[in-house]
Amino acid sequence: MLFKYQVVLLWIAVACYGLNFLYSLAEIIFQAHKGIRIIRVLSYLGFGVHSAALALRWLEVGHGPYYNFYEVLVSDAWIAVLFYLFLQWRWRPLPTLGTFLWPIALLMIGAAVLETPQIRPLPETYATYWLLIHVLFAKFAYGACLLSFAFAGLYLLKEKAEERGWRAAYWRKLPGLEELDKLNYRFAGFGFMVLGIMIASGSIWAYKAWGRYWGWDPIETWAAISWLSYGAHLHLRRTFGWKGHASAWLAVLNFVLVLFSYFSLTYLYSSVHENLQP
Amino acid sequence: MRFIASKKLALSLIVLMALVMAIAMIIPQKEFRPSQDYQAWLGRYPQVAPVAKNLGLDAIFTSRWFFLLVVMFAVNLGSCTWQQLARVKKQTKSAHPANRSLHLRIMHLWSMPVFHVGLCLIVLGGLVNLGWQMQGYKFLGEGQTFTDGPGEYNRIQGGPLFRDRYAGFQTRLDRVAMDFPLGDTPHFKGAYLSFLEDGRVVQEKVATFGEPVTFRGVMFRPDERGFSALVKFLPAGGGAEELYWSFTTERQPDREVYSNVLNLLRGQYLVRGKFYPNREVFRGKAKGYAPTEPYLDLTIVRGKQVIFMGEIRQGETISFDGNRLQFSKVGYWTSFVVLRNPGVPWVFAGFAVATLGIIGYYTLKPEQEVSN
Repeated sequence: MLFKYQVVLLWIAVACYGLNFLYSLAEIIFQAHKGIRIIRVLSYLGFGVHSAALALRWLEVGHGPYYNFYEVLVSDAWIAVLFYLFLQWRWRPLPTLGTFLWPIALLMIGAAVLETPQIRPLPETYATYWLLIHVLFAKFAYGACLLSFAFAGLYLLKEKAEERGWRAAYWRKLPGLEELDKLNYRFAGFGFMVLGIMIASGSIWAYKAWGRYWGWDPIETWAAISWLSYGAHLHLRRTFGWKGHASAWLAVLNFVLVLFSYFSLTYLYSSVHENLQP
Repeated sequence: MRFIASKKLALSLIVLMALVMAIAMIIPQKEFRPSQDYQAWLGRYPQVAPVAKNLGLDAIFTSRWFFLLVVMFAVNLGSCTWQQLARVKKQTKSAHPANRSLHLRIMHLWSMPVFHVGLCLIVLGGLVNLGWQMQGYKFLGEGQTFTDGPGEYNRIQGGPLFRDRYAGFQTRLDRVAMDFPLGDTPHFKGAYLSFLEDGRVVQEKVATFGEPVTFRGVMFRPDERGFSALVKFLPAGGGAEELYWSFTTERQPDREVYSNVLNLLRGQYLVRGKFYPNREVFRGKAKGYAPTEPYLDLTIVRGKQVIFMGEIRQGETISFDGNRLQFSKVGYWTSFVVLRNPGVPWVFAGFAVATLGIIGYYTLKPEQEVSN
């Protein structure tokens, strides 16, 4: 019964995020700067119902939202929106950032609500606090990767705007290219570090659960590839001066890799993380 | 030295490792994928698969060149970290002690090498494990004691540098806690273990699936578990032998799952047994598997001749050819995966140090960015 309410709430969140995306897109296309208040209201409303759906799920299954694909998708989308709202509050209103965030959050929730997740008891190997550490860092890692991608996307857009001489207030109000580049780098760096901790804590959990802390399972290996790829990005930037345009494209590439790691497991491989498969 | 610690080498190794891993995710690795997947892949790509196989691309993670790549990565990481440490140390020495902002800046600078030291420890721990790890498998019935050492395991395998030796303690399985939920197979709640030195209990611990126990660097991880029927065999020639007859509760129980075979007098007699913890549950009349009325359904074979067929309840004794077999009690058993991974403390320490580095990097921020 609770699941029905969750689906309704999630569809409301999808509608809010979808409208937000359209508003953000319209701002870019028509170079306006009028919909900020609407975007803000829709953000909080969407986030509120999204949180309520997540809380209902938690209540229904009696554990955190990390067991099956549905729970992981909904909670990862939630953490991405939380990151975005935190950034807006702590730093400055930046509705255009949502142009990159909303479609991803929307797709994640959309994919989740198409599932009909069964409630199964947690396996005994899940009864460890290492799982919580692993999951927490995974959420932070994917949130940071998403924001790094969003800033990289904004950088590339602003760069294009400057090249073509678009002079609308909208573009002027965006942070400068240098700042966007730095933000991309910071979130990529943060993502790299928490991704590293996610992998390390996951391996400690695997050691306790299966007696081996690294088994070259597809999800482990793809996570390691993503991590190395972020490592390469950071080293290229710090040591070899790949800043700005190149760094932005690296962030986009890395995020594609993260997305691939995230979804390839579901559709391409059999894995010890079979609970994450729909 | 300059080449080993070069950033170009670091970057090349990072990219190379990522590429190699990606290839290993495209070409199924025979040791890490179910064999039917691997065979299906061989059949699906008849042109490409043999080439990849001949090049060893279907066993990348166990190849020597991949191991070498990891070692090179570890050496490069260590050298770069050493250089970083030396550089930051020099900067620390030259900093003016009264300047607080500068202090924050220095601490911020330290956090990056600290993070890399953590990574070094993790990689080092992985390499130590690769060489010296050991994995054994041991079945224990309630009340049984096991001495960790050569020849004591049901199965054992170790890394290339592992040498089997006595760890100097004994492990006793005191009790297995089981739960019998209605309509479900028995749930394992924990194995109560006692660790003994010189016959004296020095520590008692409970091993569960999520939380295995470790004593003196040896980890005991519960694996399979089930009922054990304790039978006493009294041969016609005298003497007595107590046997733990194990029956698994792993899968949904049916008559086949709860069966096992015993060899008596070096194979002279073959005893096929089916264990029923509760008569009604197998008739579909009860929904729990708690051993309320346990009995064994036995078939004793000598050569090819069946010499006994029938049920035996707990406490009963049967006779055949002057031998006696008594079903004395019902207990539980657990099999343990016993692991020695000497690199694990390094990995754990590395994890802690790397986390410390990250915390430092993001909290000890100088007023102005040092570098980006």
